[in-house]
Amino acid sequence: MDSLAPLELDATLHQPVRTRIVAFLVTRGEATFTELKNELEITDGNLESHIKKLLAEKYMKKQKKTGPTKRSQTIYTLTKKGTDAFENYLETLKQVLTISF
Amino acid sequence: MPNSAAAQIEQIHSMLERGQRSVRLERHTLILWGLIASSLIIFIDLLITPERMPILWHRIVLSNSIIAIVVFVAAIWDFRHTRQAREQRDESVSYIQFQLTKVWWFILTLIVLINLGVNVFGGGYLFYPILIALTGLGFFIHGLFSQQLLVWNGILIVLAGLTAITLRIPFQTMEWFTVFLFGLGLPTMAWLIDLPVVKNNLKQRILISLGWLSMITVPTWFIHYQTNKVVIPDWPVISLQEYQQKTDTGLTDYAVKIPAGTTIPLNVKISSDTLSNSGMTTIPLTLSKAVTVAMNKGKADGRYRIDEGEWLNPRRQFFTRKTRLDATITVQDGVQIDIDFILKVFQ
Repeated sequence: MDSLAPLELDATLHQPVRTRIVAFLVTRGEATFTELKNELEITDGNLESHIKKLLAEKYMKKQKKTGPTKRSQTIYTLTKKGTDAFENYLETLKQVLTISF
Repeated sequence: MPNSAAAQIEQIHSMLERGQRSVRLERHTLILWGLIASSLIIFIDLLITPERMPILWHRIVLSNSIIAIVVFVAAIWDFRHTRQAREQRDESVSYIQFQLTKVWWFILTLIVLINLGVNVFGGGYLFYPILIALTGLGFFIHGLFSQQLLVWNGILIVLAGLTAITLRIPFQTMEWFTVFLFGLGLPTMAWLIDLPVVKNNLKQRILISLGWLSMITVPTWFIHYQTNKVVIPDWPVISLQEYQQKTDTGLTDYAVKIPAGTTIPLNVKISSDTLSNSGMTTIPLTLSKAVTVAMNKGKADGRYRIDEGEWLNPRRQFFTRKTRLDATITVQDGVQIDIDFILKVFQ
């Protein structure tokens, strides 16, 4: 572990559920709460707490949209800060693996 | 730590792929387009006939207008209905989905324009293979961002279109294949795409795709077989001379055997914008094989056999291919036009 000490993993992203949320949004672009819940297969409360954390860090933003049914939808997307953080996190993870093997 | 990092990367890969493949093709879309396309193919031919509308360009304008309007209305309805369905399930229409919708609209526009093009400029025998190949391409592209089954079925559909061109499958057969592909294949695909077994198992996915293709090809083959089945005329065979000496040609049914070596005049009439023709030109051709034709009440009914081969259906008939058309000017011959045609009689 000592050899890994200088490598700092992003504490917000280094959590399985949050990593999966961000990875999904990187390629999907945007998703609703229901879509995230279905993909991650977790409870509403669990997902909500992780979303709150990502919103607080400004890694993610939400916006309201209204479509043909006039029903309001909340759409979640990644911010520039979130995308950059995810890229850095991936780099760090790769370095961790390189050093270990 | 390394194990944890490896597990994280694995999870990230999994979610990246799920994000990329998250564009669901709605069931109603497949059913809608399947029924619309198959209905258009069947009913346009039934409704707009030369008997009802003798002038060709009237038929072209009417049929293409109907196709364009129906396709446009269906595309708008499908787009709105997809968005409504997504909203009701609290799902979003992603950026990739919008791009894929544009791809489909582009393919639909191409199909409508190609249909108009072959109506005006000819080459209609290529229409169904092209329609099939373009549809397959659409499914393949959509499948890259959606359910895996669409990729497999897309490839199979493209291959079916290319095979039809390569093997010169008759127009009527391809028409039926297209009707079954849309009318039967697409609604079945709507049911198949979300089956868990299709999502998770590669071998079963391949088997299901092949089974799905068989479901389209078997009825097509059956109709092809039925429509090309020739009832062998059990009639007396007479020679051409005997036929020409007959005074009561229409009283009985018989077959006339035209021997090899018989000269057959080929009457050619060519129209041109820069050349004029005094009338019909006759080119004498010689039969290289004996041909027997069935005469029903004094008229050739289209059935024929070459030498002692099997009786063939009038639907198969001939195809012609121009291989060369050259205009030359030389000191010796002056100006001349050479044209080579291949006339193939199906045997």
